[in-house]
Amino acid sequence: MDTGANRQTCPKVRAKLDWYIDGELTTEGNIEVMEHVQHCTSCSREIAKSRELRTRLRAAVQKVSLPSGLESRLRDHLRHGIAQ
Amino acid sequence: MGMEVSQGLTDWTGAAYPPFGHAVSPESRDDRFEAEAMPHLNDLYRTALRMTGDRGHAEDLVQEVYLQAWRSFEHFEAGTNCRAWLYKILFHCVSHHRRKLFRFPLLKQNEEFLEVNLVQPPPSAEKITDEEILSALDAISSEFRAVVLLVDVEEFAYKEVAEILGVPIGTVMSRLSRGRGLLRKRLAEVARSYGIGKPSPRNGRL
Repeated sequence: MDTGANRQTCPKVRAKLDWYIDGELTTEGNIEVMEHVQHCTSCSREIAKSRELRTRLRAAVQKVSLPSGLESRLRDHLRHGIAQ
Repeated sequence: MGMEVSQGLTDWTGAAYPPFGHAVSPESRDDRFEAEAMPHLNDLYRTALRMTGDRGHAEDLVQEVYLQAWRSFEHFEAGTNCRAWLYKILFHCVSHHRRKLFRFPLLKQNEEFLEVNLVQPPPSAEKITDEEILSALDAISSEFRAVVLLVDVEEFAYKEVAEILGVPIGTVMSRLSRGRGLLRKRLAEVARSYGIGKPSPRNGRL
């Protein structure tokens, strides 16, 4: 449930949400965000949207097809380069 | 494919690179390179493609990265992060070929510093296509795109990204914040074109 006191801490927590999702906060920082998010649907929604966006970005980059023969051309290049 | 190969790594890396520095026995070098370096080819190619926007340049870059990696692999210590090491070589090569690969990086970056807010809420990615996501990513300047790729796609820690790019961790954090802000801003524009995030006629809320 969102309370008035909880909403007051939103800006402070929002500034740390990306670091929280990245796993870059200290234990203390993590606890602060987790405690806030348990009672704040708005920040919780923001975390879900950020995570979804990253998942979509990762999938979009990783699904790009690789050129056929990439690895064999690399091996040829290495053999040629090493022989020089 | 035409791109010249840089000579060695010792002139730009300083004492911290390659990490540590125990030589490996020549007998095991092929096997170790095969097991530790080759599995990262696809990820490196996809990152190179996003950085250059050109399949030919991306392939040239990964070939150069692997040749440099092979030449200095005897100094690479088993058990340390080979993936991060390869990415460090990749971004050194990107930087080395900057003039060839990016036409207007600095002007664009300055413009973007003026236009992006510090905190940009993430848009709903619901109806946005993969192509639109890639197009938004490719449109942000290379310094920001590199950090977004390394953290959000390749899932490196900030400290590793700082090491890969040879910049302080504070710079990584600031570029990441700007890069994500720009990406979110561009995707929010795409989402609005689908009617997502427009004020509802009933209550006027976003």
